[in-house]
Amino acid sequence: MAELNPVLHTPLQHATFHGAGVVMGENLFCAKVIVRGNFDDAQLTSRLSEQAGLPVNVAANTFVENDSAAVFWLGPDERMIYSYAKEPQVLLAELRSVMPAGRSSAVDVSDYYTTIRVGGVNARKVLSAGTPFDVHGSNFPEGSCVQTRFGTASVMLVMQDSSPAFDIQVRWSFAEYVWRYLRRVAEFRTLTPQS
Amino acid sequence: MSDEREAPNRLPAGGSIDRDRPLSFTFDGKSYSGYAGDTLASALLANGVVLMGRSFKYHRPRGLIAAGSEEPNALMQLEKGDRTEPNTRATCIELYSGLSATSQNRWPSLSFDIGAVNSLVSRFIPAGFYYKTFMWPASMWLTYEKFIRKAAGLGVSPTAPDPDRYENTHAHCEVLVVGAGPAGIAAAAAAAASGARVLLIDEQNEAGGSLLASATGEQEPVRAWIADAVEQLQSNPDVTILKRTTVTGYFDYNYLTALEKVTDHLPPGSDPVAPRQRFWKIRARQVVIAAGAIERPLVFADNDRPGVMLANAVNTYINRYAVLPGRNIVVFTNNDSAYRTALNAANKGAEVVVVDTRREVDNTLVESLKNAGIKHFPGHAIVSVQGKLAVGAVRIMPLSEDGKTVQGQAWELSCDCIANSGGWTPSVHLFSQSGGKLAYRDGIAAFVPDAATVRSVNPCFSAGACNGTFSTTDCLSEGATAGRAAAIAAGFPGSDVQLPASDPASDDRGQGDIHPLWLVPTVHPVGEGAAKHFHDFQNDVTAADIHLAAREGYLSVEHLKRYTTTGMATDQGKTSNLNALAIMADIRGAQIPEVGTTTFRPPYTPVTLGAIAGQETGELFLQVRQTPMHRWHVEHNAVFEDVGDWKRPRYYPLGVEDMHAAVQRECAAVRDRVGILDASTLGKIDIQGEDAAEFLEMIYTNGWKKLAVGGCRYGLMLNEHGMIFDDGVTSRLGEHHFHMTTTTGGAARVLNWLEEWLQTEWPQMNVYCTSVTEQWAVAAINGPRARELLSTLTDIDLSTEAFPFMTTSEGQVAGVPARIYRISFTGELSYEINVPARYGRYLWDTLIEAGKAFDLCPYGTESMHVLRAEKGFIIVGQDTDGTVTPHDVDMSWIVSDKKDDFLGKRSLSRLDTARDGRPQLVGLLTEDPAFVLPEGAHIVSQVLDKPPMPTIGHVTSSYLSPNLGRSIALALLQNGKNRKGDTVQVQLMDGTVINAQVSSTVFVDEKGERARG
Repeated sequence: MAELNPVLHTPLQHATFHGAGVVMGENLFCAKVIVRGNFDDAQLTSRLSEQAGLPVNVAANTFVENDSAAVFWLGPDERMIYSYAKEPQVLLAELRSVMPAGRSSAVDVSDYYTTIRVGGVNARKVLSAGTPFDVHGSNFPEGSCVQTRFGTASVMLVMQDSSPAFDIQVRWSFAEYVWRYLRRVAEFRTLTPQS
Repeated sequence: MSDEREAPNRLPAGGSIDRDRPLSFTFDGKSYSGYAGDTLASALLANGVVLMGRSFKYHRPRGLIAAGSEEPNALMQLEKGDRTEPNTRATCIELYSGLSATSQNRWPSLSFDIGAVNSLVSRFIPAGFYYKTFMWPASMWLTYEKFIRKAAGLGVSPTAPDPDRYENTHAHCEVLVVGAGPAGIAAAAAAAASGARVLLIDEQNEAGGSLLASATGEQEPVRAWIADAVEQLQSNPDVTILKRTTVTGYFDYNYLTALEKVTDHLPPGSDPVAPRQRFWKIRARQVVIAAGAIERPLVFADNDRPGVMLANAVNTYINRYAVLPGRNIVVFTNNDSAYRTALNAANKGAEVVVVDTRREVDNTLVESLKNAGIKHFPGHAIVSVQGKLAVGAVRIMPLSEDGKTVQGQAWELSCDCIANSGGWTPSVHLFSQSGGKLAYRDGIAAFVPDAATVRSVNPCFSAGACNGTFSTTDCLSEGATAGRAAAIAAGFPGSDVQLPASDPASDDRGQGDIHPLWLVPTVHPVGEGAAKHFHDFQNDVTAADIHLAAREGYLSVEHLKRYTTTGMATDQGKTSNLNALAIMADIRGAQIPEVGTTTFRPPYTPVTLGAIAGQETGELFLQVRQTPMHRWHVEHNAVFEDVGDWKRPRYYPLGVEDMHAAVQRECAAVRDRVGILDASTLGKIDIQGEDAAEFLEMIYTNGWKKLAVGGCRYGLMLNEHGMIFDDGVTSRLGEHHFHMTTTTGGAARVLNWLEEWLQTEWPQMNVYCTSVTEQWAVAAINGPRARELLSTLTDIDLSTEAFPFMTTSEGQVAGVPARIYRISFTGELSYEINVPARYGRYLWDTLIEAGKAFDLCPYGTESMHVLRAEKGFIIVGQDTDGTVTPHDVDMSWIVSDKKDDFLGKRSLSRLDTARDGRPQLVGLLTEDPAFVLPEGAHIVSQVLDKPPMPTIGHVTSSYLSPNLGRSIALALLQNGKNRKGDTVQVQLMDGTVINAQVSSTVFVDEKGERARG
């Protein structure tokens, strides 16, 4: 076999944008696994929480996060688990090992989605151009996540902190479209909002 | 002031214009000067320009009547070239340096217009003229229409692409306040005080509403309060104030739209950052409508002459823009509000006469006129207007007791401006759009919102003049009450705001005591004599037209509207509707509410289409989905095909190759050597759970329980009607774990389908479906040398014994984790290599590099289509069209007769689906092997001289097969199963008929040995 040197690509190749009161960039790739099962089952949730290092029985449209992982609520029987430290196959195998065979599922979607961080004083205005969802702090406080749309792309919006900073989780194939959309609406703005 | 010479009507002081910032502009090619703070209308008026347009139908000379967005006459063609915009209202255009406007609907010039001949023959072109005259012969309408459009046109559209940029955006608030006049500001202040998120929108460039027209010194405490309130609102982070923004539509669930003119007040293209306009899509929990009222004209003889204006517009020009529209002003009114105009005009030096249709007028008003030296004619009416291009004089006569006739001493008053007021019409447009009903209030002679009819899905409050409340003091308190109530309804504690102390002496009571006179009589009955009584200026509709409509039986308001076109112009009848209704009521001897109102529809004012599109133009019009290997395809000259939203390489031309040559080369390479296809776009669904196999048994027509772990199987999905809906290969990765593939375009549809059945019909099943389409990048290598090529990059045993056809295996390929499916859509030995998307480009590059030794050929979807057609593999959506069962495509083998049930099973036994002779998929071989049938061509049962000929089927797929050296086609043919070997006739578009022989659908390797090898 030939000399092999695997090269990793990301949809946006870690693009960044700075200006108009907006700071954006593609986040580092991380392991992502969608787990589905009966989250009313205390045994499942306690084992999964232990494995993930975070409680998985989070409230609807919220997430929890620490330095090494995050758990997002996607639906009553569905969570997205990020690991910032583990390889996708490792995370997948570990989660699977604590889930009841045949009555749950764990699927590696690490490469399906990428996330774009959008921050800055105009971040909310830039998001509002593309999403009908209300991203005001009163409706979308820190620790919230929501599945909505941005332009024509299905996305998960994540309220990271009230500085503000948001993450947009988007499918690989839509990433460039969303990125260009964000850039175009960011470029409508100067640093002082509403000239 | 340096510009005084050029601007004869500009007052030496006052107004909210900035005299330190003179601006030059042109109108009809002539240069003028105005000031920052002017509108195009006020600047023209300051310069003594009275004639601003020609009317729509009669080409009558027209001037301004209003100062706001209700203006029907002064429509301008703004700017030139790619930025030109027709039908802009001069009253809504803020002046900027270098502005260029031209008048519309005139030729060769505004003051000499050939089209004005229409005015001379006007009695031959009454309402309904077009419908009556141009009906015969019907075929000529298309010819007539061109001339009618030209003669009765407004401005012209630009022909070049719009160079400006637009944004559209969403907004959310607890309380939306429409209008920043006294009522709106009070509402916003009250709502904001309680902590609600408030969005305050106004179409003007500054807050104040009706107070913007008030004179210096008038209502000072209220103005001071408003200035203070606006400042507080501006500093509140939960309040957004949008100026230069018009709420254009009110839709269900308190969804409203608004158009913000962000940079229209600046020279075009001068702001490098901001969009020209921004379209707002607003969700409001509660709405307070404080949209004010619009003054309506009196309908009197020749009331459209340039110089006839609405009284409050004259007041606005004087006080806001420091422009005195005339030196000799006749104020003509049926209510109190015009007296303020009279006093202000006199105060600025104009000679003023007040003609009031009322006999009794409030004594304080009479006194104030006397004190100002203003002549007063109560109980009188204007019976004629002299002057054509501008008002020169009026004739007035005493009115009879009932107001129906004039009699007695006539007076002629010379004047250059008529300021008239027929009362105030509350702006109920948005309330009506919200679904609320209107109620007629006699005391104010107008329709107002009926608060009892607010729809629960559109909770809103009306406050101020739009609610029929005209006194400024009352507007403030009503606004505050509405704002407070809206905040409470939105879940906030109510807060009170401190309003300015009420002062009855200085309060603006608006129209006060109104005595409506809907049609002002003259010496001739309406419709006789030369004079015209206009009620709808923009569409050129007169009171005589309403009489005509009534005579012809168009009594219903909806008929009246359409027959006369009243209210159907771009101004939506803001100044005309109520007058028209009232005149019709009078003719019918009915009460106004009995006549009813027409429906108010969005938009309130015209909306630029560019703003609705916003940023979603060009590359943002529709998402382009790209695979991880996309850039390689671009770098290698791929021609792309749209498949769903995806861009897929269709073929890769070498040098000067056309599609035909490239496809022939690519197809041959796959059959002879090895080709590579980017198959990443294929839909992929991960299915897990102990009931997964049982679930698939229901979803697909064939059996799945016995599929071994590691096995792959092709499946057809049917809908409930038994028709083919999607297809693909599904593989068993574990006892309770499957990997499903779908068509590229069907991925989302199939996942929805699966979820729908799981969630609504079979919730007891332990099955979880998760989309993994883009988790995997897929390179499919096809051809006799595929195994050799792959073996250079993997340790997986690729021998047929270890890795047979229709199985899957996991391992490393090119040093990255991969899953290989040995399945084939070309009929060749084939491996579909799936790697995590991050390695997609790397895998592809590595395969291309390793493939050099095998003369590896990248191929696109067009070659894929040819190759699969050679094998008779169907494409769902091309060879099927939603009316095709598995039996129809000769795939009965895939329909299990052992299973109790599967989706669509019942429908396959319906009489129609089970009958013989249905359209069935067959192969077609043309007599001339070089002739490629066009896809869609009809197979006919009888050849006639010319089409149409009776159809018995159609060609679904057709290609030139390089591997057979001849053309091949697939077709749906009635009773096709039993017609193998027959010759059929295929009709082409030009009527010629081609002979073709019906064949098997499999043209290459009928036994399927190549894929198994």
